[in-house]
Amino acid sequence: MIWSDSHLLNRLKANDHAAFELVVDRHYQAVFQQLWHFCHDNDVAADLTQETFAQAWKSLDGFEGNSSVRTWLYTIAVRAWYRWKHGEANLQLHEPLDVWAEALPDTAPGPAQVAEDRVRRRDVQQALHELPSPYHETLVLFYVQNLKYREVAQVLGISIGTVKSRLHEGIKRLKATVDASEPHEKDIPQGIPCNIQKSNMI
Amino acid sequence: MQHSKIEHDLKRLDAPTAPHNLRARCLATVPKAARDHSRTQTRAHHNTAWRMQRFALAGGLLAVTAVGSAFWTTRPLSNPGKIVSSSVAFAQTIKAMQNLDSFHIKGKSLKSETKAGWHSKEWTQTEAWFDSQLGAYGVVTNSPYGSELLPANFAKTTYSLSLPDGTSYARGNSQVVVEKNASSWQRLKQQASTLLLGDVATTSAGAAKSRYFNTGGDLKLQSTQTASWEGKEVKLFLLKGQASEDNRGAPTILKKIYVNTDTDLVVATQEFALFEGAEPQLVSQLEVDYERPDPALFDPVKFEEGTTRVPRSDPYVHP
Repeated sequence: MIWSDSHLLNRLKANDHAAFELVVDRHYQAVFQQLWHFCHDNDVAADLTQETFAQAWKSLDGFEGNSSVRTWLYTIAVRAWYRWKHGEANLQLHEPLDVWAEALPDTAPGPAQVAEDRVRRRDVQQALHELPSPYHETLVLFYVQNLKYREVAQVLGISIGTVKSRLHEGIKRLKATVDASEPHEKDIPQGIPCNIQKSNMI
Repeated sequence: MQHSKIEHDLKRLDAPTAPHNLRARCLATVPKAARDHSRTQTRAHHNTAWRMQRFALAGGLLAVTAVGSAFWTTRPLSNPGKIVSSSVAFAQTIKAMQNLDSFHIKGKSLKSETKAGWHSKEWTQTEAWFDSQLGAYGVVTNSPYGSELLPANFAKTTYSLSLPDGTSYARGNSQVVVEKNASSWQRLKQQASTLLLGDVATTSAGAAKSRYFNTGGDLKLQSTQTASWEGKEVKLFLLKGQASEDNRGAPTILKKIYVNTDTDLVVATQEFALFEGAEPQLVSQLEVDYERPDPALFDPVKFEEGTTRVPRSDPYVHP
């Protein structure tokens, strides 16, 4: 049976366990991936996903159903991310070997174009990760999570006009970063996979 | 690059699949009244096992095939036995551990899924040697880092070596990745001093709020007892995790720290997950000794033998 959001909300408020389970099943992957795009860390994204659902149940009484359950959860996830980011600002616990695995070559064969696309997407992903808040969050919600302008505005608590201006400025900054990081072909030594060269850009 | 191409790439960005136990973790947050089934997830305290594996990864090892059978006998918790000390004894142990020049640890822990301390049913085995003058060498078998951070074709046993000049080596299968970072050794040394007692030190200092939301609160000293370990009388510190504001359905942790009464140094630790109405479940166990390691362990030439070197020490220079 497919439950509408309003029916689901009623079941949640009635403490129906099946409804809670359905919400988790429908959304935990997307919430995890949204948070992963914010933090680029599996562990933190998993923790914050769990925190998102815990906070969601706590604030259930205040949720009137004016937005979709998905938008509601994304809003809570963004807040969880901001809280974590604020608290983590001075905690850099990365060990030197945390990142070395990224340098390992991907030996999977494939056409040159596929490899080039992959490298470019990696550059875009890296540039996105480095993009300052709030452009980072806005771009993730709009492009990666495929929310509409109105939904992004709801999640971030801003106007649609602000969403559009952030997207415009965010893309502009992203482009500048990606353009600046593109190496010339002659600088890539022969015989070493291109992705190793990229990941060595410390 | 064109704007449209960037927008196109943004829409196609990959993200990893959620960890397999995340669904169960999220369901564990469902309000109690709505729960109609018992939880099966275990949550273990993240600190010691996690630090141990990270340390071994950052420091170096040999495959641990077995951790031996165990070794500890204690008096029942209902019979606390002779109280030999208080928080003062704790402080002495912390101080002794912070001044270590070398140690060797060997142990196992239920494979950690995340830094927050959720565990799978798989055991990770770890062995590591540390010498403040020579380096750190460690081996982790079935590491969570082997399965999650490393590519799928990478070895499940990871060897690593860190030297005081800041060079770090990490090896799996036939590749060695080498990088140099002047501050990495200092960080590793700091980690070594709190490897076994990080939790205790924080608790003792009174700060103690974990930065992870579901670690179940901080470990607090419950009692100090006498116990025996391999026939010798030792001090036993019992610490219990305090349930956090919202325990997320996970058990708290009981930690046992066995301490040499003469040196105040830790000889072993155990951690148990405490479930309601069930026997405590062992989730981590470590032995420690303080013999100086064989210097040959820290020889980078031996470490790299038979491997392909992938350097990361030369930063890419953009024209």
